[in-house]
Amino acid sequence: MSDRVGSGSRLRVGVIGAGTIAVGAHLPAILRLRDSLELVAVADVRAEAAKEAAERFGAAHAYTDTRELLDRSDIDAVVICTPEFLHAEQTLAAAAAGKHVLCEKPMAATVAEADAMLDACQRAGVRLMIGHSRRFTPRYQRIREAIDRGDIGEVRLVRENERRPIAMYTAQAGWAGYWAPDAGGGNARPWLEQAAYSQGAALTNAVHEMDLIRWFVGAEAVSVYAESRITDPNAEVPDFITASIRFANGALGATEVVNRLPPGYPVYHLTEVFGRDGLVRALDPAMATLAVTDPTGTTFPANWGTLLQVPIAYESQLRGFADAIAADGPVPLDPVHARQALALSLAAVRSSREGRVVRLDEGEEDAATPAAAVRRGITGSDGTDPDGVGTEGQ
Amino acid sequence: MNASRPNPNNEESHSSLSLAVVGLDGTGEAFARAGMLHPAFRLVTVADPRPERGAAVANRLGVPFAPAYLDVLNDPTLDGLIVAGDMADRATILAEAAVRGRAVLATSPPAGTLTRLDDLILTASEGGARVACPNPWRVVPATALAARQLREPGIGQLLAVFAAHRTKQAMGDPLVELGLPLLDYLVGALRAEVVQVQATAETLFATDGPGEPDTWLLLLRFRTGLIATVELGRSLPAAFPTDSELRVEFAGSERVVVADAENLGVTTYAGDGSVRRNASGPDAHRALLDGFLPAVRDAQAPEESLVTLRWVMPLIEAARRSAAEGTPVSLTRR
Repeated sequence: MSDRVGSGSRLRVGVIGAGTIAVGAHLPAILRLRDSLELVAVADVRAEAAKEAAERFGAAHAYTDTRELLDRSDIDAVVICTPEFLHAEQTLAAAAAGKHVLCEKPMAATVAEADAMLDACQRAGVRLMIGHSRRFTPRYQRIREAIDRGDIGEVRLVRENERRPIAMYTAQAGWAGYWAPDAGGGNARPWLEQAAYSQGAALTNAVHEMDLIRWFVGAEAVSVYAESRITDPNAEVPDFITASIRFANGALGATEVVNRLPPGYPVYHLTEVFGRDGLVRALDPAMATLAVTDPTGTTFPANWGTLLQVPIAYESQLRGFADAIAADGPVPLDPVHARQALALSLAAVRSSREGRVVRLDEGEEDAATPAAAVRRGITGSDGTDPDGVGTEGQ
Repeated sequence: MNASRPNPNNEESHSSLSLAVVGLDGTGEAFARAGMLHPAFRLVTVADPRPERGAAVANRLGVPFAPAYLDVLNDPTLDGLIVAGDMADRATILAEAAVRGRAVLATSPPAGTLTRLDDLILTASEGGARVACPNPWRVVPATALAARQLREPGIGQLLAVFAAHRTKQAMGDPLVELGLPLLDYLVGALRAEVVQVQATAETLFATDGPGEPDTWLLLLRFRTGLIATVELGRSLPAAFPTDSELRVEFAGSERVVVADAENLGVTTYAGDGSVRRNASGPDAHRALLDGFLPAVRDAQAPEESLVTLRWVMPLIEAARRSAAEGTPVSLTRR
């Protein structure tokens, strides 16, 4: 346990993983909240990335080994920004070190891992929160508020489609996605596209849609049917998924995610919540605040940060996490929701693989999947990291 | 009936073909309006199996009304009939018109099952009727333009198709009423074969008893590997901003084409980030009448007949089976 978590003093934070989501969202949010947060250290297996992030965002320490960061007594909480296959072992290690944890989505690679994270943090007496940032994005919060006010009556159908341009990740400078644990720091193919490490669109971004649909429906999913597709001949995992979901209260949910749209295409969300009395709808290309019209026509900025209001969402999310720790209260987003969204995404993966409707009460697939086997080879069956790798930024 | 009264809105009525609309739902009324303005047709009368509804529409349009619709079907002075109305009415009227050997423009869908469609085909054949059953999405400006853009170079690899057709109307089974024309349009536009369908059906909004589902979620797998996501819904809340809307998105690796039929517009998102909006085109009902004209004037076989739609019925029935059994259903090669 760290040597103090004091109300009235700043929460001391370490960031694990210095990839795109850390540098683009979490670290800037920490900087903006410097009155209440202090960035102490950054860890990443890429020494240069850790050093650059530390210098840029004002951390005094940079590490290539997560354990060195966790060993520091002057860190109260960690923000885990690594790929999902590392979340469980890093969260367990952080909990064992007495650190509160804000972990990026998806919560883990398997439901069993997610349950282990919940259990470890509860036993250690530390807070765990999963970064489902859209719960903190104003547009989605306004939708939920409309539902809560009863504006549209009982929710019956939710559709949340997302489309991303192909270059969303790869065009960003310093993208860490080409890293993979067995590649010695370099790999010709992004881990997001490798079956050993990723489930593809279902976890990369559809877990967001699953979480939003659950949130808006306000009930647990009962079953899901999904179809997926690998459209990129160089990829090993689907970059497209579409799913139909049944909920316990009789409502339906639906989502379609496509991740290989033209480079200039804006990130696109079609969010529709139909109630018995009305509907709430947000369609990005039609939103005036996102359209730029000049004498030559209308264009839409291919800027996902603006589109999803990332700075606001990540700042709000981090503030809620910090406030909960300072007040010794619950985090603003119960990690069980992230666990359920993960379970739904994984059920969709299983459905698309097996070509059948999958019920959520079937439980998790046998862990002997290719990805699980590879992860066991990397981390060891006890969940430790024998090579000291696994701090790569997401 | 007062079939001899001239159409006051049509100055060329002396040289035009005589036409009647039977079945006055929203589509029937739209056809009547289009017929009143079409220079090649003279709208003689309108009729409906439910006289009070027919009289109200006739009064609204200022056209003659025939209280007994069978009188209209038997009227030898009429050159052609447009058959619309609710599904049950439509199928009955269509069968009555077919057995009388009339030239008919039937709104789609003409029937809800393959058996019923085959009955109609047989009746029309035996009666010598020429029944045109054109798919409106092939002529509605937005969807027609979107389909044409699929043919143009530059869309790249087709990654995904999303289509949603929703309405506030408390119509019959939306799988048939909305799905049959939409699926026919999609498959025609894509020129690809559906090999599997998975359907989820539920009554989410309708308050008119247990009845048929008001919402269908379909996932279609094509032989090419492409997957289409289709949503069909009726009985939406009164607050729904339009009576009916259709959205179709063809997502390519180089270009994305979005057809919004409610706004009669097509938006094309090109790979360079540019966006092009296409203006709306001519009225779809007018275009359908244009297509019907040769069948009436020259006694030609219609380009899109009842037989044309026959292929899509197995897809509809596979979707029904999928929803009932809770499993995806494969379709054999046609």
